[in-house]
Amino acid sequence: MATRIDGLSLVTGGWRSRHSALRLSVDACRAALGRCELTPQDVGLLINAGLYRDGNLGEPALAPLIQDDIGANPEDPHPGTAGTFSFDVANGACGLLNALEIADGFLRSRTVQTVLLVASDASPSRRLAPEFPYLPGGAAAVCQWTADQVGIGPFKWHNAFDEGSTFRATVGFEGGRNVLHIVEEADFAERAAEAAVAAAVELLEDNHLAPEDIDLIVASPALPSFAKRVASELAKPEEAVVTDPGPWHTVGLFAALARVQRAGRLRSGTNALLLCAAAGVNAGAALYRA
Amino acid sequence: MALMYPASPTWLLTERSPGDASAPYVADITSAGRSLPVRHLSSEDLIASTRHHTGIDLERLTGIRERRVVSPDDDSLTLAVAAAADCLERGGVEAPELDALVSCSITKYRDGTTQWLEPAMSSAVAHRIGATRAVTFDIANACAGMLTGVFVLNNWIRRGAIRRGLVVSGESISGLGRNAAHHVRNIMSKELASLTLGDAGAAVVVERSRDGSPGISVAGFTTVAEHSRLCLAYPAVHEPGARMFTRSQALQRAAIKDTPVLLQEALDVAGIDISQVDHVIPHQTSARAIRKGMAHVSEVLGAGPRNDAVVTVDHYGNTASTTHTVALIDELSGGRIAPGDQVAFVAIASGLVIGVVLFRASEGLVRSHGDTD
Repeated sequence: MATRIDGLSLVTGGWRSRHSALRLSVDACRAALGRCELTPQDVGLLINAGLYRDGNLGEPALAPLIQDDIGANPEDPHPGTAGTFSFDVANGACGLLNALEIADGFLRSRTVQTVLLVASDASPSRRLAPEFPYLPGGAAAVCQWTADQVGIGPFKWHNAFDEGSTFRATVGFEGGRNVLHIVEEADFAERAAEAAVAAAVELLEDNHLAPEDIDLIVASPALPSFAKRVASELAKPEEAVVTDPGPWHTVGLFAALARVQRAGRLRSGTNALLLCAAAGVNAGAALYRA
Repeated sequence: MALMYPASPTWLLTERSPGDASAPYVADITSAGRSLPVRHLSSEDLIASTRHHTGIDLERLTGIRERRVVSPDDDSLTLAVAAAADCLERGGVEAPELDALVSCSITKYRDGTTQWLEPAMSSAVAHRIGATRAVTFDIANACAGMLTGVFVLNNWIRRGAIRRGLVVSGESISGLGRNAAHHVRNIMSKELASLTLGDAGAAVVVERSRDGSPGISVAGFTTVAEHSRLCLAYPAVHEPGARMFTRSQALQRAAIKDTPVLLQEALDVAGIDISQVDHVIPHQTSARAIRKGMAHVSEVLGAGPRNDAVVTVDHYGNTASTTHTVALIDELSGGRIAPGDQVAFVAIASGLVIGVVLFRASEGLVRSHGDTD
């Protein structure tokens, strides 16, 4: 028994949505629910892991706005039925993996039947983020508990603290306005790969597995030297490490997963490793059996 | 294989302890810490700093006499780190013993008013206190952030996934009040609520219950998202920091309307009634709002808690996601909470998030803030 990931949907920004993470999230959520033939009322928990959003909104979390716009039990409570709880998780490119672990927990304890996970990033505007480096996009998936021997988990995390010396994103006041800056130093990919490999090795050891037991590594961020170093350290061929070039940010993990799905590489019985690294440096790994 | 879910669904996403085999353990709040800036700012002085003559008697309107505000050397991160250190010391917990560290603040300011979106603040706190093993991530859920963090760690501990975690927040949020002081013209201003804000750091250790402590019996949350646009905060356009725009009366109306039914739901799951609750610690927005809200709770539920709802907003202001922990510590250090007392945290936050965490105060928690004799 495990948590299944279904209805994976990836959307890119059009002229109406390229500056709206909210719109991108809503579009991705609707697509994911549609693929699973679920209605918004079926969603018990909605977790958003996207970071870069409309107007750099700080409060409330973006998740309640998404919940409202997709119509997931937004109304005042009424007895005898279940509502929806929503919140944001923030951990850069690892946020979706954190969200998956949280979703898995509430599904395992049968607290909830359906969790909707979403992430999106969009430049709030050229003025507020003059050098925004990512493609506007959103991704969403539905998580449910299944009696089958497929799904996600366990998870493992590794810290290699640097407090943002290799990657940082800040909103600060300069030139008379608050501006978003995202700074990625040249050695971030190497530091990210080291941390990701450490998380992967610890996960495999904890579960008495070896790299050869893993068919596929679905990874984020999509930095070439990151993927190359991960493949090399885990003694896997480079084509076994799949990223989606985007350039995505918080969406990256689901974009890579969607890519292997589209390519037909996530066949039944495939043992995949979900692997990501974020600023901090913080890295996470999880087993995923398709 | 049939999957077992509760026969009668609750509107709140609810967990009750102990659960079945999938969640056999009980989580407990075993330590609480906080960091309060030393500077005091009275409502009188804040109103005196407004650009326009507002005619607002803020203290009379909100019951807030003063709030704490950070000095230039402090920010969200330093407040969070100090609160985490205080919490660990009081609980006798070493940082490397933490399996998880969740940072839940709205503000993530470092070096003044630069908001750090990445790395996650949890990573920086973990680094500075030495929580090397901890899973780290941030949760954002407005003023319900810390209790959402407790909700998540409660789940992880109940299932046995972890033994011990820290939920922390540092809110250097009084700058929104300074910004609002430039714009508020009268009592109808959408930035009036910003004048209620104060700064604080707070942290709680949540861990697997020891020695049969009843710990957290029920944790339940929901988001009434049709009210999600009643309070919105953004980085300011032409000023450092942020500005917050609140339709306070509409938000208060919705919260007062929805809270009693949801609190009753949580109490029903726990199998108790409101008269068996010793201490209700609500989110601290204004003394008047808390008293009005609790009067409505008592009216709808037919009774009230054993003690009046805890009010600390009069001397700390609204410290955002840290209010429940800051208020809990006031009650503990004042000797008003005894071991075994039933405590109800009630979250009410932009979103509109409403949540309830019911727990019994453990002897360790009470002792860490004073003598239990």
